[in-house]
Amino acid sequence: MSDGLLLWGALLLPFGLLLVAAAAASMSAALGDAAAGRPVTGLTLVQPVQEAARLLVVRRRRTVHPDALLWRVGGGTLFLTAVLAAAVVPIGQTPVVRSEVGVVWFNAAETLLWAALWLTGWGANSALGLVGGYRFLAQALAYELPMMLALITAALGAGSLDVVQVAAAQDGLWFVVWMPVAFAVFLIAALGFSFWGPFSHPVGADAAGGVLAELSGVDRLVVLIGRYAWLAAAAGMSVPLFLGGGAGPLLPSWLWWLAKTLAVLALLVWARWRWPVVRVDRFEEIAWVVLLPAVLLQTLVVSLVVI
Amino acid sequence: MDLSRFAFARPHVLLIEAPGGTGARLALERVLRERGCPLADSPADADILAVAGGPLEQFADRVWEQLPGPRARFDLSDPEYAAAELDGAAGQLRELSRQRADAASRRPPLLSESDMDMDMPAGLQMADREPDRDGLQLDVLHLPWGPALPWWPAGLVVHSRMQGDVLADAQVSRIGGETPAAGFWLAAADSVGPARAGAAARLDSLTRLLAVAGWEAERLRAQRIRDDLLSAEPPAQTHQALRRLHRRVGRSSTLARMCAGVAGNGGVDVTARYRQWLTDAVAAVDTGADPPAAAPAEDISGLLTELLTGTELSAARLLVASLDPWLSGALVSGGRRV
Repeated sequence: MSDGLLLWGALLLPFGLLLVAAAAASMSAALGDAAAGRPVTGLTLVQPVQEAARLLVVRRRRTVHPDALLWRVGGGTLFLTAVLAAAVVPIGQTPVVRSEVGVVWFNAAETLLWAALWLTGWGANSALGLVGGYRFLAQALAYELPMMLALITAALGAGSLDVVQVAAAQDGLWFVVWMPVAFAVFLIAALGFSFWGPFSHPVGADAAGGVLAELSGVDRLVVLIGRYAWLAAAAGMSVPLFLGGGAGPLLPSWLWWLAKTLAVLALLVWARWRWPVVRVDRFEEIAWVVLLPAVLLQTLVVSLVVI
Repeated sequence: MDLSRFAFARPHVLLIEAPGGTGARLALERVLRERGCPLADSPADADILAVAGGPLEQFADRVWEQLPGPRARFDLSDPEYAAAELDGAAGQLRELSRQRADAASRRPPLLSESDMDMDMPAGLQMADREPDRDGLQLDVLHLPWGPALPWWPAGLVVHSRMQGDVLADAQVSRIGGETPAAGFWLAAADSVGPARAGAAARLDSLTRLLAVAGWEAERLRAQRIRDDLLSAEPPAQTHQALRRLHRRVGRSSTLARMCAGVAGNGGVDVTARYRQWLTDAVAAVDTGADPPAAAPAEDISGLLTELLTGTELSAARLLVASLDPWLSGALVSGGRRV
């Protein structure tokens, strides 16, 4: 199994990721309209496009004495790292980049979010942005270790860090069946690093939008697209890790992968409307006292089974 | 297709309540919810600045300067005109010449390089340093909260000394009187009856608390039920919807855990307060009588000052929201309960 890069795949990947990300935004818009008691129509589903058009028209803002370079770099890093992470996800059988350490690669791309979010909060030179940035760092401190262990657990079950091998190892029995804790922790972490729904404290309304507080126009659009792209990348990655990859009867494997990805994505989007925001200071305790020991136990069980 | 019409089909609105603007705010919130226009968290996310009960003078002007543009603003005093004013403002967003002129007349916030010196970079005051609650040296920033802040009681101003995201101390002041919303809720009790008005008043406070707690779905549902209770003919399913809200929000262990222990006063914390509102709202609608609501203290501003000191920002926002019925005067009015 050699490392390899699919050239046309690399060109198409950002657009594919955008499409799945837009699907996530549409689903969220539909749930929002339903909660507001408005009929969900075709117009609801194009809302993300409408919102993108609005943000392209709206002017960019300048704050007093910003760190403009780091501010923009932070925002742009979000989508860039999401594409990098999605590159190792096998779409059906084949990823854009086949790597023997794909699982670690995904994790490495995710850790760049620590910098991306904090810089976006810092760059504006605003107290609210900075509060949001620090909230994200605290949140990352809580979800990162449990997530690493969840990733390692799946890799351990397959005996490989290659995402394709991990998917192939689930022939007959999906990892989610005997690693439910690792799967749940991965989903919680996905909400965490996408600062989405229950874990959107870094952009919370109580801090007037936190990291997003000073962003307008295209700068805001870039960050929001990056966020949806990460949700999509996380959903896409959960399929080869825990849900058997592209395996399934009749349909081609890429279609199975897509169907499973959209299902997980719907679950992640729904979480936003289902739960209130989990404040970072309280999540810290839950993560270290409950999640970490639980996922450690999961890793131990999987290790014993593998031996 | 006209692109700007498409882009601004759902303009984002920064909605601020001035003292006495409760009726106007409720009318606007209703129109915005029905049209699916998002409520902005900050000026950066807003196309339209709407001041309910306006004009709130220099406070609103400071916020107005921060809207990126295309932008429009209006003050609404008569709830009747909520939809018309919103249409007018949305129309202004699409007037190219108007927006160009507005953009040209604005100055960037950055001061010239000659204003740079070590003590005042870009004309900004540097943060002081003082010991924090753990005795370490930490930057101190003086930040005012309110009155031009979404999901915030009308006319409330909190001057804080922030260390990180902790309010090292806080001074509470009020503009526009102690109980600015009392008049509106008294009038509501006269028109739809004390039970429905009492339930709606509690749900109104709940919507702000849910907004600050980051639970958009239930915030929207609570707003819907509140608006239905205040309408002349509430739909038949309103009671059931209220009971469902009570079940989902009142029994949510996540929300309870986030609010537990915040701003405890005589054993009553934020969780206990919002659960009481829900119980009272259901009881009011079931029995047709407005249950009495005990104020947490005689001097509500004093209590707020005392409880705010040393809290972290999100806890502070939850605390303020949990005292909203008494700060706004929704549940007390000169000795007469609404």
